[in-house]
Amino acid sequence: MEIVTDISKIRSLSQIISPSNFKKIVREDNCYSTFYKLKKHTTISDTTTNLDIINVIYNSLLKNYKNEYVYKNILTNKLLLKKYSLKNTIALNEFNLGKSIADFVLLNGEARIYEIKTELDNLEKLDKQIVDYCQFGDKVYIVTSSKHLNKLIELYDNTTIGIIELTSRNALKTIKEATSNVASFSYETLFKTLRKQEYLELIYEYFNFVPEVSNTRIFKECLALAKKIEVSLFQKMVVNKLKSRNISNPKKIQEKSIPESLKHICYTLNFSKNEYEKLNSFLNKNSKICISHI
Amino acid sequence: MYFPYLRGKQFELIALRELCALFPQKLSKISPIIEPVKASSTLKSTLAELSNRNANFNLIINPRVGDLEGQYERIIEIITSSIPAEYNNYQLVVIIDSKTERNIATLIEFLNGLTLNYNGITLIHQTEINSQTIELLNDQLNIIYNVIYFSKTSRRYYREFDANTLVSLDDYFEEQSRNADYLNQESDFSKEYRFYIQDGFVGFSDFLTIGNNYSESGFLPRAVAIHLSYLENDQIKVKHFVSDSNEDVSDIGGKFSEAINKLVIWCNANNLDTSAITVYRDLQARGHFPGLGTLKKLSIMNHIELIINNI
Repeated sequence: MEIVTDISKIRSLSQIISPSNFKKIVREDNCYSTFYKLKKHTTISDTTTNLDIINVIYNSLLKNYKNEYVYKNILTNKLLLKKYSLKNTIALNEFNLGKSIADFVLLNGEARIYEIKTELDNLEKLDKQIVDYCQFGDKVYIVTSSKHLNKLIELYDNTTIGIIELTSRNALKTIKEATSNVASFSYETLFKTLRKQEYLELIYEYFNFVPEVSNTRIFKECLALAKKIEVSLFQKMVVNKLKSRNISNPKKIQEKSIPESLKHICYTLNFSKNEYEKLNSFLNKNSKICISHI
Repeated sequence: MYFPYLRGKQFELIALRELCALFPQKLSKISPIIEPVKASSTLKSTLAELSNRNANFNLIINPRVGDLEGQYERIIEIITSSIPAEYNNYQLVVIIDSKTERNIATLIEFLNGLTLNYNGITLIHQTEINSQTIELLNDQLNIIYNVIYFSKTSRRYYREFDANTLVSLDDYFEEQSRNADYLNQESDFSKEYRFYIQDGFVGFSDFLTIGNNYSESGFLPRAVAIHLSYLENDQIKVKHFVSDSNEDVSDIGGKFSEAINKLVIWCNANNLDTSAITVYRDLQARGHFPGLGTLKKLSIMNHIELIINNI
């Protein structure tokens, strides 16, 4: 099969490989916009399957249009699945920290935050984001392309911030190692990442009791108690709590049947076994027949 | 008569159900319009409660929002499974818009084919239809109420209909995109309750403190806002009580206590009392956050109670 090289059309196709679109495909049986885009922008042979198409589009993105999904998917494959392991590491996608939303967070013994600045992004909000992230993460990295590299090296010289380049051959190259942010940790930012049940458990584990107050006061009372815990210990306890938010089928996501191009989608959407089956059945279908049905 | 227009979501319906129990003697002053959006057990129990109290209501059979759009048969099934077969103190409602106008013959046929024992038809005029169509509808259907959505029809359109069927409808709630935008605000709502009879209408309708905009589900807000309807110089107004710590979505219970403290202080200073305000006072005293759905329910109940006490 063939696909277009025109950048605006690739942008349209790139929307197919996104968590929100696969949520539609797998959870809502809604493939209309997917096949509509394929019909418009690709030429498909009789034997092409949806899996073939997804891989062709993904490879085209790797080459011509490295969007945020490509970065996140490379981080998922190379760091979460290969370098660390699903046994003792979890990833958080689009994670609220202070007033910012962190693109990708890895938690094992440490909390590592990865802020993605692709060549399609600008650096406008970066300063504020970095301040928020340093209140939570042991190490904060900016993952970027050659376009922003020199600017970022200059900006974050002599700071704790690490810089990683996604090279033209799609390797992750550490340009500058990150160092510890323990001095900037904030009780409030750390505490606010937890759900109610999580902070109640944490407080109970440390103090052996939880305050008996009404539900309009419990948050403030627990936060006040948390501030009595030494901050680096508190951060470790928070990271540990968050780590229990693991995906339900860590074995499934590592299976070969799940293409590398979709690992991040599968992880983020946290598919059930049933949903993995639906995904596989979608991938194995003949695209031409699918398109003829829309 | 007051026609509160409510979408059949959970807390809207519970508000109606609880009002039935609180004011059984005053139910003759209201005739709620319910737009069913989901075949829920709460919808069925609410219809059962209304009929149990012999309360008049209007149920939309062609909803324009929610899961039941286009599901005529399903809605009829909801009626037959929740209302006793002999109960007839309710109207079926048809929303008149351009879509309805195109299918008017099918619609008439459908309604005349029903074996239900209902009182008659309410039409909600969201767009204007021509005189021939109006004549056709009058010929074929037993029309009890013509609800005229004033801001969507022209100035004199209402004159096309019998005065003893006329109900005015408008969305008086000034909706803001963010809850924080209601901070320290009060807005005018309407004076319909005071003037509708003088103006020649048998009733008036509005979308209460919710507004005509429909959203399927809520989300965690940065600010908690409580909308309280009250009366001032023959005018229904809405005062908004909003939390102050609105930087992020954490500690919603704390945000609620900021909003409710303001509300109780203001109600005390102005000697206001409704059954919903009593509940607000109790929540504030206990420092208990009942959830966002309950806040919406209380706001609806307060609005309806205020109106039935003043018409």
